[in-house]
Amino acid sequence: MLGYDVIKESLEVRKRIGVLPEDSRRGFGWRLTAFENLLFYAYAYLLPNPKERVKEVLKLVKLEEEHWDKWYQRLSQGMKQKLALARALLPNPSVVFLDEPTKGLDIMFVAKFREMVRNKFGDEDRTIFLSTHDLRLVEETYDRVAIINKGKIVAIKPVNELKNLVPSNIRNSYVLEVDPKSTSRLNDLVSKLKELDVGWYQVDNHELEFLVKDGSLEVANEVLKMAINNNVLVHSFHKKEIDIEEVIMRILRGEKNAS
Amino acid sequence: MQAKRFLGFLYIDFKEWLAYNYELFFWLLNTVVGAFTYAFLGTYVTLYEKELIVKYGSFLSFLIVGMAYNYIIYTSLMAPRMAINPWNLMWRLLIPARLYEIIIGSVLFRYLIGIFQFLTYFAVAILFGAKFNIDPISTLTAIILGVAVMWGLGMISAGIQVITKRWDPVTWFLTMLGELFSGVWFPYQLLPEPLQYISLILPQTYILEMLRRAMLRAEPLTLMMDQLIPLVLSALIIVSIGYFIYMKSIEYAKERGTVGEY
Repeated sequence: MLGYDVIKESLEVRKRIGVLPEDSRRGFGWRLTAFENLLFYAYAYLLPNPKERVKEVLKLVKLEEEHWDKWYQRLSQGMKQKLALARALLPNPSVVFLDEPTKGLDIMFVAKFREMVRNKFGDEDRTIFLSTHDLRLVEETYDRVAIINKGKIVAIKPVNELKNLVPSNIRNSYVLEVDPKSTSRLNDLVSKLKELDVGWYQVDNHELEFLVKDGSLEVANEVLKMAINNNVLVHSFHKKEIDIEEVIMRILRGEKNAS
Repeated sequence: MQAKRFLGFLYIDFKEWLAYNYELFFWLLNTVVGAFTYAFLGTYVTLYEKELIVKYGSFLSFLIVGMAYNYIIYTSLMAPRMAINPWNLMWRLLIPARLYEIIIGSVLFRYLIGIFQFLTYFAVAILFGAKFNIDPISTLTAIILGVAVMWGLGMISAGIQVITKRWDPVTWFLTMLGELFSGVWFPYQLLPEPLQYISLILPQTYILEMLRRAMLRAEPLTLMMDQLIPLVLSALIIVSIGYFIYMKSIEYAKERGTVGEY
């Protein structure tokens, strides 16, 4: 890691990493204040100006000053999580490992947290390894995603490219949602789709999902026109947006492109 | 209705107690050993104290050295385990410090308060008329050797616990049996002869004997070779074995990712 052998040069590695474990309560004195807890780590890391550094990181993670002198056990779950994050950032690490970092955080702070991760906690050169089940966080903050299933990496790609792993009929399809009264007319429409360049389609309740060659918007519009001409009451018409959650679920189910 | 509710409380506590097989067994043993310790203290010591105690000055002086040093012994025995408490160890191992720094740092405060307690006992004993006749070099040597031996045994004990995540027999053997057999409260020679063999295999027996001779009779090291040589050898062997087991068990736990588990 960072050019160091993690076994032989573990001290050098430890100087340069920060960790937020899933059980972030570990290693905190319950009857020490938030400030005192971090001060111990500042001394243990031999940081210059330990008190100043503690103040800096507490501000960085937005733990309000009024809570700095509270015993750890009297902090809320969200404050404890912020404190653990502050501990991870204390040595100004080049690499940060965050395991389920948004657990217990209030929604207001989660939004700020996403912003912090995007800014890499104020250091563009910092690498962040983030392990989470919060898929929105994944989509909004990650550069690259590794999907792990049963302890093995089944895919590792940038978020956008990850979507390419899903079969093309799923990610390039159009969806026509109709009024329930038009369901029978929708079935009539389906029989006429062969006249257009529609390669694949499926009807699910009041929805028609279909795939056109090269994702052509013109052909997709022809389908829409045909529906209207057949007196189908259209609620909505859109290109299917596949989100990261669906991508991951499909990959885990084994619906993965050969590419 | 209320009786039934209390019965419910009794039931869950009893079931939980039974679930810890080792603890239950050793709770029973501890109770018996504790009872015998105080029974001996209350009867034989007062009856026969003269011949065995008089060489140390008084029973008060004898007792104070035993009790005060027992705390240091206990701290030394428990220190390696406290340093690798799973609650903290995972975190402490992430600090860019060497393991020995983490271990020493983790127990330093306990030794400081141990020394404070040690000195308080002595101060109070002096107020009550206890007499001490100290050879500083012998005393320091006895303390250092005692701490080393108990650290070695503590490392073996902690090493077992890191892997098994359960109770270990070493600590129990040394702490509970030590109170009765090693001469903390009364000279082990007061025990029935067959039981004295247990005293002779406990390192605390030698440590306490050497310390009392150093602190109460000002014996120089040259007169204590019978205690000194076995203790030095024990310290060398036990610390080496303990260090090996301790380090290997931590490596083992790190490789398997079980450092933070209980």
